[in-house]
Amino acid sequence: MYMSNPAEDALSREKKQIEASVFVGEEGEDPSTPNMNMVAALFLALFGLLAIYFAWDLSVPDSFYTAPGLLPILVGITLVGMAAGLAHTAWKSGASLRVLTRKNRLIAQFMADVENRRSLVLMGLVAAYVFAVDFLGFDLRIPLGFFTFQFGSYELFSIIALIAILKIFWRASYLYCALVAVGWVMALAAVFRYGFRILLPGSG
Amino acid sequence: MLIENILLALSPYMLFICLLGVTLGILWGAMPGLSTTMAMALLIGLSATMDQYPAIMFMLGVYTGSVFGGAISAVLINIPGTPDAVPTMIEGHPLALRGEGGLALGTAIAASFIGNWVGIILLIVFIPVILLLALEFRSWEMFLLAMWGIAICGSMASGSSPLKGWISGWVGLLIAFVGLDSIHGVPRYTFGSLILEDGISYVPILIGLFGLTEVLKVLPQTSPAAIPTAVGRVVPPFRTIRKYARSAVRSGLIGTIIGAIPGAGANVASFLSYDIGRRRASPEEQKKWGKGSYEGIVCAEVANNANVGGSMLPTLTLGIPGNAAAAAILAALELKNVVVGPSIQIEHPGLIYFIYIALIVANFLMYGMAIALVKPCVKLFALPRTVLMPLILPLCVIGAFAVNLNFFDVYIMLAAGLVGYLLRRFGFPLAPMVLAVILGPLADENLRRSLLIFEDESWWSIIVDHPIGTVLVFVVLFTFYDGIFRRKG
Amino acid sequence: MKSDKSKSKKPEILGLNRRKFIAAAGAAGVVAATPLFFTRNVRAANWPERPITAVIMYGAGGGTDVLIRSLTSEMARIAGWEINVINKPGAVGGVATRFMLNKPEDGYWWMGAANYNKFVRIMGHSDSKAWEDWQYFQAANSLASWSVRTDSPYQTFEDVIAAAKANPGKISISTSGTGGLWQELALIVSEAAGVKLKYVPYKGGKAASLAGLQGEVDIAGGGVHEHVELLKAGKLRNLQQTGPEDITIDGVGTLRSVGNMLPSLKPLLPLSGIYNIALRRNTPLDILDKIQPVFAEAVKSETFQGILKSKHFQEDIRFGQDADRRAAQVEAVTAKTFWNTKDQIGKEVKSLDELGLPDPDSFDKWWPPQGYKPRMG
Repeated sequence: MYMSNPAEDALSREKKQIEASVFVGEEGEDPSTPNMNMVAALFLALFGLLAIYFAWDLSVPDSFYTAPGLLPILVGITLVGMAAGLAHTAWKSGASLRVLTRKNRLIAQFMADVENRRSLVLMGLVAAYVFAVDFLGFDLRIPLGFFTFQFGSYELFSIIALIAILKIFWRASYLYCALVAVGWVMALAAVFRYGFRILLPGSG
Repeated sequence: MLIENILLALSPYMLFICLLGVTLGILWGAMPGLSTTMAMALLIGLSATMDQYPAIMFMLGVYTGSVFGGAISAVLINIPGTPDAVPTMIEGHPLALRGEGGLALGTAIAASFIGNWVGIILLIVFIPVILLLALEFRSWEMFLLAMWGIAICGSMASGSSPLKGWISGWVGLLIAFVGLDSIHGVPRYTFGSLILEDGISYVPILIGLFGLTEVLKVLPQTSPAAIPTAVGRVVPPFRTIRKYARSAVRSGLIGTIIGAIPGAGANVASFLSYDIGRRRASPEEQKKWGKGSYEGIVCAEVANNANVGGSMLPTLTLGIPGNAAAAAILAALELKNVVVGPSIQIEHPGLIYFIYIALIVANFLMYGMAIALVKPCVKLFALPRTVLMPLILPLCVIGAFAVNLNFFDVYIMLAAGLVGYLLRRFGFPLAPMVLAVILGPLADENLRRSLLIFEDESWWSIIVDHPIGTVLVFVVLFTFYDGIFRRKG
Repeated sequence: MKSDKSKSKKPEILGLNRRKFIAAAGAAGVVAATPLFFTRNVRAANWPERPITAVIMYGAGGGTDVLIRSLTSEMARIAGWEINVINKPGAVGGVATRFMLNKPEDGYWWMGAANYNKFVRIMGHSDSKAWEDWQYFQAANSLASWSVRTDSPYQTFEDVIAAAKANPGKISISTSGTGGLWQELALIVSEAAGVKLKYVPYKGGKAASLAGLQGEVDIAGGGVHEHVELLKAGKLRNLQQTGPEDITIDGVGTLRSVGNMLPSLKPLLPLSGIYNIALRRNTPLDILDKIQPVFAEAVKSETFQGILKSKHFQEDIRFGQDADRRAAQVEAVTAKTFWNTKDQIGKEVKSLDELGLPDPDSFDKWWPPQGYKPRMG
């Protein structure tokens, strides 16, 4: 175990952010730019319109007031309205719609940042882990006389995914990564399998 | 009868069981991904193997412990263990980054301790009054209460603008609409999928938006921020507590009353109390709000713990549980052939005193255990994020899965995590979305039910016959007005 | 018995279906599984060799959950079996049903069911028929109840019916949810009485009772077990219950049977929630025969009887052909009711024809249906 010294830079950075802003809410200052707000507004407007479209088709078994689609439509309309508001603010702060036509440059910019690349790798690993537990689901029950040992896809793929993620981000030796992964996952699984006696993901 | 049950609750064996429950509850709540709801549901099965009194003791211990436990991960690693710890996260995490994590948690412990006391005292002394008030909350009032919660989405967001908070909340509302509608059973946004008909539960959304999103955000950072291991002072000075006494009492009342209303839970209590607290705070305290206000922690933690006592109130007097955790305790008692309800005093004399004492014992033990656990927890959560964060992943998977034993919820968790990551990159706050996913069904169902009931009534008779509702209408309107016009920019 | 042999070749110890098994086989090798357990067959004589899992189709803490849990824990105590109980709620039992259909028919997977799972086919969640794909064991009934606040103008069931006839669709009754059991039973009663009520759905029977107590609706719908505590406390007054006879409860008085007021309903009574355990139909017969006496003893046990008594559930043991027949009957009654009132339910329901069921009135002539194969005595 080592103490994370480089963390202190980030710490002071985050501290400064916190002290500089007015009322920051949960996530420090707003990291978005006017262009990003414009893109978000367009997506949200589309989302709101889709919500209205699908709610419009719902059957109305009784009166207008209890129509199942009433509230979704109202929420959809106000969402589109708020998206328009966001777009308006973004426009005033200098956003331009040209961001949409310069997709390639944006992607290149995004990929140039090492943290973004690492994020994509991590997302891929997590998604692969979740899909593997489900689609390659199995649940072994081995009677050993005094108790039934159970081992399923949750344990197997959690261990594999943890070793991979620890290796990439923690950068310890495979042995340490494997020890941490196996120890943690087997302990966790034991609590739920033998303590609470429930099924684990992958077997249900 | 009274003395007998007090002595029983204070026997060494019972104290040990309670300590075990409280400790497990705190640790459970502190684990990102493991929710109070899940703990209580799993305990029904486990309690079937125990005797009646230890089972009650154990469950109340876990309940009390886990409501506080959520604050630990919220403050230290920015992942709320339970939805009601979200305000604590907003205030506590900046404090932890500043090296005041110990004191932030100490304040949370003291606030939880006070909150529990307020809840217990109101439960014991004011049962008839609070019950009367709680029973006034019918569909119309429930709808307005939910709307109030949705209206404060705007002020949960203020890092950017209230607009972004509401947008985040509105997306949450649309997620909440998925499923069979509760009045006519019409499938909404299910796209022919059977599994979507039951709707999207808030547990995987919470785990995804906060747990997975935080992992996705922190782990790839080349130099992630870590909290300082030097804890410093843990128990807050008495002066601090006295300074926030008014907030504490107010939050305690809010927490207990909302807890006593069947259907409204600790999350509504802590969000409302937090928002009211911010509005009532002194100008110089208001400046700290959102950047690490101890008063904010007091408001949230007093309210969600007072909720414990409050939720037991309709449970014990009517047999109607105040929330999911109380429902689990009720079920565990029913498995022991104890029917809880108005006749509990006749058919199981003394049991109610045992429950009161159990709550008090659990509160004291929670206080002691929490203080004992703070320093080790800070050390543990100060591990390099590159080790800590990956370990959270299997917890998130199991936490999303275990409430309904349904893998679909794991996919919901995954999707919520990815969406949460995107929303954060675009500067949208996540707390309003969770709040809206919880409150959306409540608002929708109760509004449409009230409209069904009010079909033949005139609008003025609704106003006259529902005084609480009428007051709430103005509160909701004011909250929206305040968000749009006063706090803009 | 033919099907038993074909099933017996499956590696039953792995709790998974064939498709998933093939996918997992490679992974399984990694775990150094001994060859021994791949070759083991269903040996009913030694059953059970490992813990049994009971899958309850509703959530933890509900009425079905509590009753099935106490039943299985009594069965475990009596026979010395290990039974783990899990909840797999969703789609009025559809999620648990689909889950069970993917499990081997080896006696290690039980379903904790309510109402013979009669909603799944009608709602289109599964095609499995109770009397062809499952073997049910019924333990108890819970009767439906209508109650009013003690300050209500309605003193009796007849008062409510008269008021509802004068104001069609204006007298409101709370239900535990649209398409749920208590709404269905209220529909049957009000159709028999020739009135139309306003059904106000709530989340679950307890919330429905609360709405009655708060006076938000004219009548509190729900089960007798959900009302009895409030009746004892003098907060509610009972109008009717759906058992075949009047019931007398200490401290409450007599709860009148709806059959005494609406004689046309009498043959259908009891109209009730039904609590059962189900196994897949092709579970080896000797396993089913082992379960049956243990089940019966558990229902008769002091603990279980205590719960029935305190919650005012009615003991009603059925298994084998008796249960098969009852399953088909309750499904036919429900299908007809939902079909007749389908304009009030948003989700599409299947007709009696589509389901291959007779009109409940001619059920006695129809049973046993063509191709019916009794499994147990």
